[in-house]
Amino acid sequence: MLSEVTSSFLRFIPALPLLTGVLHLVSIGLLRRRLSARAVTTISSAAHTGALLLSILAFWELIALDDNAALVDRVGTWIGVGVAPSVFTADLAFRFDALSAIFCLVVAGVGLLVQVFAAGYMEADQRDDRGFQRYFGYSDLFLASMLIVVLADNLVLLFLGWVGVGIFSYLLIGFWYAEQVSARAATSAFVVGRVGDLALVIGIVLVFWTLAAAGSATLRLGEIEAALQAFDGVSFALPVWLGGHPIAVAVIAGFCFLIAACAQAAQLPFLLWLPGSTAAPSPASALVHGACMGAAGVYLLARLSFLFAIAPEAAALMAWIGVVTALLSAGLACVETDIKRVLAYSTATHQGFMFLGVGAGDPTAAVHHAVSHAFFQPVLFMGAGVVIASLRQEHNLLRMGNVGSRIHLTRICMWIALLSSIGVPPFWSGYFSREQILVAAHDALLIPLHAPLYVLALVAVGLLAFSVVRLMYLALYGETRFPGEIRMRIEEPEPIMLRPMAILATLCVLGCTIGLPQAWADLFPFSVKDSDSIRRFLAGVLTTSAVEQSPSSWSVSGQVVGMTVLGALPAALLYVFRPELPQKLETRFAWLHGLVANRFYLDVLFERGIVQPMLTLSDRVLGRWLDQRLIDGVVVDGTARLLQRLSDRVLKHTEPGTIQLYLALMLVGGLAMVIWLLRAGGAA
Amino acid sequence: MQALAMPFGALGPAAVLAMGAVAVLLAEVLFLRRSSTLSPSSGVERRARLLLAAVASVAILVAIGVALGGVADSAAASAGSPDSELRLDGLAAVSIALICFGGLLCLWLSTTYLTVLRIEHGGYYALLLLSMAGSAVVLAAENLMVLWVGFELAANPTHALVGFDRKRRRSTEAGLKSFITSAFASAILVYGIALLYGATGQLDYAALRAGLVADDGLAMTGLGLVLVGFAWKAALVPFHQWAPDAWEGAPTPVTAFLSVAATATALLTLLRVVDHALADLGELLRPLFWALSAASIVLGAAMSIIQQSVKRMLAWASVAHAGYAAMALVAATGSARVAMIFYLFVYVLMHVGAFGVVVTLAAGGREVEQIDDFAGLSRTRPGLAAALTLFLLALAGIPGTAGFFARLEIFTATIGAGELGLVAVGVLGSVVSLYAYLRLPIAMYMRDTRRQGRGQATMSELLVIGICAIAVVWLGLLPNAQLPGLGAGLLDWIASAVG
Repeated sequence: MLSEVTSSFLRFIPALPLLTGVLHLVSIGLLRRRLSARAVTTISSAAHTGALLLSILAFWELIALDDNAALVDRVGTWIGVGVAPSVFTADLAFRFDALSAIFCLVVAGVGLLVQVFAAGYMEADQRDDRGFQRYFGYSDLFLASMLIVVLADNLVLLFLGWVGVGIFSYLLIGFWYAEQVSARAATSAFVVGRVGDLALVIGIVLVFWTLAAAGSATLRLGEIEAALQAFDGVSFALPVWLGGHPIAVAVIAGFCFLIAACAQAAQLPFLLWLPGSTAAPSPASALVHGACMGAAGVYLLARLSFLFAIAPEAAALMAWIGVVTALLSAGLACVETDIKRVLAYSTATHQGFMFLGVGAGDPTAAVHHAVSHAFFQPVLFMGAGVVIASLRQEHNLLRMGNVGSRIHLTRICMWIALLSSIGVPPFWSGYFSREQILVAAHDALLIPLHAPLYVLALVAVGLLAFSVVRLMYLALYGETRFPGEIRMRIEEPEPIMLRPMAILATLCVLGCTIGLPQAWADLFPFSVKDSDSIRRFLAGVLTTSAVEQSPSSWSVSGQVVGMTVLGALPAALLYVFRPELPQKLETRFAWLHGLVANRFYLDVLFERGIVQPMLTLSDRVLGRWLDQRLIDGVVVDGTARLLQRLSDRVLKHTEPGTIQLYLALMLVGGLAMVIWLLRAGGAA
Repeated sequence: MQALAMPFGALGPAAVLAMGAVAVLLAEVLFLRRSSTLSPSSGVERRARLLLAAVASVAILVAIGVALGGVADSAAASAGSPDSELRLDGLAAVSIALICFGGLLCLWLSTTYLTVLRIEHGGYYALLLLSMAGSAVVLAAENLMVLWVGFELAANPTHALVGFDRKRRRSTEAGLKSFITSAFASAILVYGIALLYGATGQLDYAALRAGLVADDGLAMTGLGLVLVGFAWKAALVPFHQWAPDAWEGAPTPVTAFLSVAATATALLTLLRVVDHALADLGELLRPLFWALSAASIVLGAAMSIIQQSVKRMLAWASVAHAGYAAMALVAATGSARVAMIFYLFVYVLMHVGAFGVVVTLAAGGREVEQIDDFAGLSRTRPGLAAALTLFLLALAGIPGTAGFFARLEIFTATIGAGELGLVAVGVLGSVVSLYAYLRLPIAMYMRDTRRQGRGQATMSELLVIGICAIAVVWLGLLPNAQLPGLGAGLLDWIASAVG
């Protein structure tokens, strides 16, 4: 049981960005008075700085406490509904334990840096005159929602934040709503998000029901884990025509949470909303898709790792979903020509690795990878944004080339992030986290067919390395493939944009210290004790069910590094030394290229299988039939029309304004009441 | 004044308010005698007016303090003996505080409006205070005669206030109409009381509760007539017809005050009477309240749709809201009582806020009240348009506003009492009323400007609108978050005070 210590300032961590976000939107939406760009950035970055400082303060308080302790800030009862004994209450309360601490620091810290970058980026790129403040309104609220997700003390509050994350990411993707692509991409992201929300609600309800049936009706995160034995032996039976087997409630709930996390972290079968989402402004991509949204999914899974420990089927499915997503999206990234889509696919790959980590029973590795990913991926997105902006919104890698020679510092930052992303040992943070995931996958004996799991993950590692190195060379090196007059105007971005990138790149390097496996630390000439700090920090919060806690295994390390090199070298070879070769290979293996370039026809599947049915469902069934015909048509319009007609013909005549009629009606009503009382009372 | 109120016991809040009324009248005589010769905007005049408003505000604040002080001391301290005619128990204190709070907001809304429409003349504030004093009597009454006297004291000043704008025929007409129907209703009420007395020989609530039997025809006839009187005051269908006329014709701050003085007072009193005197007849009364509530919700929502005047639309909305609050009488449980008081509090906030915007827009000598007049308001007065939209969404019960939680609480209590059908009617009514209320935001945000409102909102108006807006949002997000002054969340505080 976790010990809880009351703290009263946690509420301000999400409240500060929430406040500024609301302020921005009220200012442009309701008051219609824009603030100056300077005021907007000052307010927003002050709020984010405040949130970060408070997070650090909370972190200091937390590590001064015992292991397994948590800070809890209970603002008050938020919702209290229901009739005793099945009263349902949810507190407005925040919780800061080891897991929340890591995510909170990352979200607040990276959020602040990306917002500073955005201040420079959005200043230069305003297509709509209210864009600047609108962007900060959305992104502040997005960060506030994200902080609510990671700090929520109960699942209801977490759900509120979750919905907020969905809504504001939708608004950010569709930020340039006038452009058809943005609007379309936003719609498909929105549809997927609602599927995830629904799954999350079902999961929460299942948990609540199960716990309430066992007499401990609670949705508080700490108490759910303590009351976990309520799930023992509770199961639903499948219908007879499906075999009639019972399925444990824990597994069903696990599936629901898994679906929700998949939708949020762009895993199969929802993978394909992510590439579309690159229509967002680049800082938004860095923030939403680089640092936060997938992290929300991974946070949910890690937070509920105790549930997945008793639902091995859900965990196994999670691992498989992760691997297959990683493999597919890494493959897709290899042929994609839109620079931001390549990065989006690589994000999906990394998130696939994280899913693999939780599914294989080592959530710590997944959390660690989420942290690393939040360091390096925003840098890549920001760098891509710089390139795109300097080439006048050119997204196509094939029309770039040799940009890097004009933007040295950006290139250096991107290289550091890239090495971290593809995992070049030993000093880049992304390496260790992913290695441990692969170790877990290697040892995941509980998962059926775990051997191919590991092999497929290795292939994904190689493909990922290939795709990101390819992106680097196509964009920054080689020959110039865009009009020469633009080239003269490419320059290093302003310091306000460069510095956040540099800080994050530094974190990519320093980040390895938080999770350095002991086996690696022993290689140092000086002695390092207790090196794997993140694992020890999280030990009390996360439930690790990996078979063997081998901190590192040299054979796995060798294979991972080997695959990375195998992926990266051909990319360098193809795109640097023999630039004509890719074209030849494309024609030679046209069928394969066609398959991959057409996204394995997955987008067709995604569109027809998920987005279209959902849209059709919501449009035809919910929208046209239920909403328009039944609710609007019959209930609302029907009622309204009926009443309109009624009122035109009848009701109007009931207010003629004559007192005599009023008094007469009053008498009739009074008489009716008296007669009722006499009859029902038994007097007459 | 607090010390002065002590000897009055349970009559304390009413006494303070009445003294305030006298003080305001005196101040008016002393400082405002030559008002007809001075121009309304002269400095002397303005300062004198400010003084009147200040005196009245102080009286109201002291009355709130006296009422709540009674609760804080412990329910029994200032309550008087159990068989006394007036008792300032928790329910009475919370009700009086609610009415006084609403009245205070309306008073602050009045100051500028009266000048702008040039209808400022003697006694406005005194009438306001006297009506509230009547409410304070009726809400603490433990005896039907005291109740009737209190009702008269509460109602008669409102007729004068409704007809206060003597230059406008609508106002005069509305005042006369509300006076005549009110007299009729009072007669019915007192006739009912007489019959009850004839049947049981009792007038005290507690004694009535013991003496009333369901198969006594005389008593039941009397009870029916008493309920007619209450339903008229609360404007429950089918006893509501006076309300739209009076609300539309009255000067707008008075309309806002009617929602406090008439509807909220009558419903809170009904709650008290049902609780103290009629608790044993619950099963008999339940279908009656069910019918009143459902009819009010349906007709109130339906009639809102066809109104072109915002004030009249809000009057019908008030009919519907009285129906929602009456759902608590159907449920008749402890949590329903709390839900009803919370509902009425939110109702006062929403209505006073919405009327506050209408008041603020009143242009030189002419009211802005047709829906068409609001077209394009979001461009000329974005803040007011946003506030009005907020209040309308709250009236329709949209999540995120106090209206949602108020309705949720009352629906939950009603479901708890097993009255699913009534809740279904309530939900349907919410949907229909949304259709009605949204016409105004549509006009404000999607149509072009037609005419400009008054130039500048004054501090007192902004204060009222701001208080209402913040409270509506705050209670909509955190309905039960701890409030600094109360030491508990609003719902918990009401529950513990009413206990």
